Amino acid sequence: MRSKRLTGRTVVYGLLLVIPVAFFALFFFYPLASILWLGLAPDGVPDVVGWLQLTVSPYFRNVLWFTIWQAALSTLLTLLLAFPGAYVLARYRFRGKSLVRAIATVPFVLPTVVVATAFTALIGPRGLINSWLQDLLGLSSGPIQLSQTVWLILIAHVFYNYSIALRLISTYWQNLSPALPEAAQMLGASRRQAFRHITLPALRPALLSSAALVFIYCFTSFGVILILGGPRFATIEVEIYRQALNLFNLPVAAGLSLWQIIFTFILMWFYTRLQASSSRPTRIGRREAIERPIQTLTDRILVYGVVGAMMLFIGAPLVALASRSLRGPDGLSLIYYRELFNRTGDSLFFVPPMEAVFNSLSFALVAMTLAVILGLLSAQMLFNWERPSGRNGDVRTVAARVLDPLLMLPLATSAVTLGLGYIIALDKPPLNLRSSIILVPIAHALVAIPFVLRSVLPALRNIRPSWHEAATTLGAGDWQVWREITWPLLRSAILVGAVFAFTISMGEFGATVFIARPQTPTMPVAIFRFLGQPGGAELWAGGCHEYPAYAGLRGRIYPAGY
Amino acid sequence: MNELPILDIRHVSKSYAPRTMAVDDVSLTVDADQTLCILGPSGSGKTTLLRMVAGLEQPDGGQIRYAGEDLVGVPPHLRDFGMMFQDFALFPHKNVYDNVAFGLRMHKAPADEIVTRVHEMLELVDMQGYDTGAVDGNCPG
Repeated sequence: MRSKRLTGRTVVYGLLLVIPVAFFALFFFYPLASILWLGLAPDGVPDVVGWLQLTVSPYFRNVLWFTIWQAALSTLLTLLLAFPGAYVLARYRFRGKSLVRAIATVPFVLPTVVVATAFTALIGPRGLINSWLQDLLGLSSGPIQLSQTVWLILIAHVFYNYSIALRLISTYWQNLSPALPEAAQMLGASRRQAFRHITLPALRPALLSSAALVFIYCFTSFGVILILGGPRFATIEVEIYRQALNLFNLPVAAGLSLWQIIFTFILMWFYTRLQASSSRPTRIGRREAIERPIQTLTDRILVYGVVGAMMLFIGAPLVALASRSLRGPDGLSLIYYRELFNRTGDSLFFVPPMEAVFNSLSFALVAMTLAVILGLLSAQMLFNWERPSGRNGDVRTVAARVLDPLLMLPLATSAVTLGLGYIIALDKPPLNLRSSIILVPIAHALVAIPFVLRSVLPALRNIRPSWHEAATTLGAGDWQVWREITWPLLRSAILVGAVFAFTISMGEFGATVFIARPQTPTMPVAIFRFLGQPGGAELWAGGCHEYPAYAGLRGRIYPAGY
Repeated sequence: MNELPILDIRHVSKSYAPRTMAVDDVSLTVDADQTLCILGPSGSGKTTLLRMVAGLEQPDGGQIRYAGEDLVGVPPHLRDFGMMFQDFALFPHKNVYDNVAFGLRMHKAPADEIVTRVHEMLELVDMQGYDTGAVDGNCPG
């Protein structure tokens, strides 16, 4: 009896280890290694000189410089704009606060392609604001000409990252005792001095870690810059895409990807260190003591002003997108929603939009299933190993400590790099999946696994060992323990991970644009094709307006799913 | 007198790390109608000994026999021992009734018997009427 049971367990745990590790080796490390090889040995022989030449070339310097300064400026603007909102959400109690919080998270779950389209609909040359001003002032063209300027990029980045900064800073702020600045005032500091010398330094960990995260997102920004920036602007990410798919210069693309991998890993390492220091704020006092009601006129102006501005900033692009999609050639019309079912244009690249919707939904379902299964397996594996049990304990604990950050690496890898790795590595034997439809959900699942892992692992850790043990002494076998204890306690964490995985898959653009087959584009890829057609301006102005409708449809899927 | 002890522990040892000996060569017997009390300072291995009897830990050496049968290798859910956990180990996602009923359900007791037994037990500890309460919030003291 003994030997049989123990071997059974060993086999099960062996499988737990092998499946996620094999998946990561094949679909993450192998493609990245292929990029490394192509970047450092373009002709099959190691040639670091070529890569170094690329590195010191003015071309690379320009791309790198733009990538850095636009990311830095976007981060600065995001933090400045999020700061007042974070203060209001952290320190005031008012009706509808949870609704305001919920609305403020919407931009973060919108796919980049939709954000870019929404801003074109709002402040593009023929956008909502310009056509209003045009009518109002009787001008022949819109007075605001931001297209192909860096401003459009910055505004979209701020919109996209506002939610993250707001959430991180306000949560941290909420856990800071209001007694600290008050004590400073009792000691003779003015409000301004108390803020400068007490509150601001106390908030530093949250400010730094949200700045690092926003910087990482803007540094690896792809969809926003590709669509809103026009040919004049390129981050490293966009340049990898152009070199690979427009110029078919794979070695240069690989060389750039190599730098992108280095930069993102450094930034991610920096961020994890910052985050570790900001994760434990000192919580003093009850919520009622921290949040104060709106009492004075100043309170009212501050809260309503900030919340109003926040809602306008978040709502305007989405409203513009929706109204754009309803505006036909002669006024209000549903023509573009009908167009969703039709194929427009002669090229093979144009599939009926509804088909892309269907593709995206199917891919997302497969990716979600894969991510949940693999994420669950790796969470269980890490959990079993991080607590030493028996004599092998030490080895396993070390293994868990090494594996945990390794499983998080897809988060730190730029999407375009991953896509490039797939087309370099997985299009030839031993693993030829180039024409396989499974490649898209695999890439999406890989990006989503860290989210499932981070959602499930804390829930697993919260399950006390004694609950399992009590269940076994009461007669529950392995399977019954899982069904009666583990599953009910993990269910909501798994659901959160699944929703995340689904959302990520629906919006993923950077990797998908490389690996989606022409006949089966996902929604973001199809939207991009509509935008990127030669003569796109005429398409935009002329009869083929369906993509805002399409993007509008897309925008509605998220809040409902969330 | 000439009957076998119901629980027979012989030369049982258990160490956690190379140098932490939790239980060192313990032997004892318990007869069928006997109550045994093990006392000792914390860290002296009381819980480890109990956990080995319950099957939650494997002894490094020695034998544990129950009614003459060797228990080593028998998984805990087939041993039929009861154990009170130090933190009570109440299942947080189950209400009072379901917590009490859990062991009976695992032993595949008939449904009507489960209902009667659970209510008997709740009455015994003066907790009738608390069936649907959560296990963390309604402790009457």
